[in-house]
Amino acid sequence: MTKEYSLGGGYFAQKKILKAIDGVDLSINRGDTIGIVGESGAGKTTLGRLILRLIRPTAGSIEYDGKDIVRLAGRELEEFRKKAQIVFQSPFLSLNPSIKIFDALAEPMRYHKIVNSKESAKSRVKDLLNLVGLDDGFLERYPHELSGGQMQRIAIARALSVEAEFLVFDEPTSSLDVSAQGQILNLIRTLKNKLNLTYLFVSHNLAIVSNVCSKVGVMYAGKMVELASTDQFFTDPKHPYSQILLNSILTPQIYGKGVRELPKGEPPSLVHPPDGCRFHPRCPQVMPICSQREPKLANLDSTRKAACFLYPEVMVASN
Amino acid sequence: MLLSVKGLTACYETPAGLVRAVEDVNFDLDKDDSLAIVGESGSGKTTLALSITRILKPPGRIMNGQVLFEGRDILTMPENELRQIRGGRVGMIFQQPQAYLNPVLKSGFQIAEVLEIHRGYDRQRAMQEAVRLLKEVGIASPEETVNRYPFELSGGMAQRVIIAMALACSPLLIIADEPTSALDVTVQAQILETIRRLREQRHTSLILITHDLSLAAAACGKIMVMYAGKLVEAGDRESIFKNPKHPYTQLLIASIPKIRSSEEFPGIAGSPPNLANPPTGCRFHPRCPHVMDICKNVEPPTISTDAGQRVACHLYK
Repeated sequence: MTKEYSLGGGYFAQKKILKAIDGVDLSINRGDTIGIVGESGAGKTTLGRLILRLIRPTAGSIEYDGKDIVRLAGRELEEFRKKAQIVFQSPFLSLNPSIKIFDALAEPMRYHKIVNSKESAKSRVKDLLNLVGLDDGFLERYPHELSGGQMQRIAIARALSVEAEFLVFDEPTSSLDVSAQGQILNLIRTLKNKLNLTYLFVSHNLAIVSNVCSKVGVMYAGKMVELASTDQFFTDPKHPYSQILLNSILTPQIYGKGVRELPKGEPPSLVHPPDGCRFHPRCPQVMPICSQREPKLANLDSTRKAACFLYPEVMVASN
Repeated sequence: MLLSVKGLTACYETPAGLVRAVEDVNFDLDKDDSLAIVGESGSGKTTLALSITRILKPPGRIMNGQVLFEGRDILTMPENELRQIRGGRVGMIFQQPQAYLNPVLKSGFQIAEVLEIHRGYDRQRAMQEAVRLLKEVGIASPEETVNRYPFELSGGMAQRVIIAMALACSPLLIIADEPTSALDVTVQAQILETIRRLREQRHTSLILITHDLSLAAAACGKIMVMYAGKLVEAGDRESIFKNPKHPYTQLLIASIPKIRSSEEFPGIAGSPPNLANPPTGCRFHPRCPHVMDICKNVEPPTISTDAGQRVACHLYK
């Protein structure tokens, strides 16, 4: 998959191309919870939106249950929209402030004709509220009467209202306080098991990903650089960027330890990304080949992929 | 004693009534100390930071208290003296570096201006000093960076420019309000390391405002926890983390997500109160797992423990 954005291109400015996602391959199995981690600008959010076809890729294909969703239209697209839903980062922005909670939850069901009467809508909405741990008292409230955590519960309920089976969470707790964060994460985990859902979980918080996800995909500057099971990733990360990312995590225990190995530099411009491996200007283990050729994401073993020339499998695959 | 805050109360006038965002907060800061003020959104930590240098704007208002900086009260000081403290003896760093830089002025000029105003340097000398400061805060090509406009800088570089501005006049105290929340994790680690190194070299005191306990632990020796405008607990980093006394502190520490634990995320039931109409007694009592009858009616006094911690909770006498 590739997603390019055109920048500028007016009468005088030269048109620039920004590759937010550059040739990413990813497959998700039913029941997976895949965490996508990386810094801002890595392409995490763009990836989530492409998969849901909220935006269209510049090149590449996205198949859902064997159907290419890039080409879907009409009825088939509506069917896909019911199955695949998203929960955004900020419930303050994703809920319409002038619409009551009841209508916020009933509207998608009316649109998709899941409910056909006011009574059935009401009973479905009540079920949804219970599902996300809220009571009927919220039906007639407006979003501003809710706390951040409660609003995010509503956003999750709304995504589930159309009986979705695949959910994209885009930083679902980063606009919440720590006290609300834990409750939302518990809810996300419980719902997955209860409803047998599949998740793509975008987050920059590795500690959260380690607790919620079964697999981890690491993105850097529009590329997928490592894909591994959560256990593998947190015990033995292969890509130097993954190692640095894990090293950057702050924990309260950190003051006892000496000076950590710190990352150099900052993420690159996506309009003029570095040649070869995009991480090479910051990489502590950089080799001559890294600035000349681009490493491909290759299998290191049956469950893990990485894109780094330190590994012979990558060398072979990139030839 | 470098800074001594006594009985500080600050409020906002809103249509819903007077909101006491900071109420009766007391703390001291010695030279070379580093203090983290930790709390959730709405706990009053930013209002506290703004009150210390008296830059709280209406509808915010400081109602009561003293902020003694080197023995002189900032809250009653005439404007011209205050100006020497802000940006001179106290440097400030804010959350969104790009928002605090003037977009139409080159970054070097913005640093130099501080030196011209506070130190009376001429332009040429101030610019030389700006280059030196940028180098000190870890910018690789300071000669080029001084000629760049803020939009040409990355978030991390812009924050370094802000830090250079804050350091320009060798302040005795730096107040940093969420200095790394807008930055990526790898850049956050770099900025923290820069602040740590600079503090070691210059013996500058630090007040760090943050919602992130891990960041507080990484950067500061002392920690003060605020809830709904009140100080609930304060003490050394080690004692706060090893032996937190206040139930809110305990829950806050337990809420930090740990790497790979299969346990439930603890979280804290309920949500922070509306400060226009705060709960009676202890403000945390509606959410507290150890709530007693006394908590609902009587506000807990702040007491000192044998280990030197201060805590405001009826569980302790």
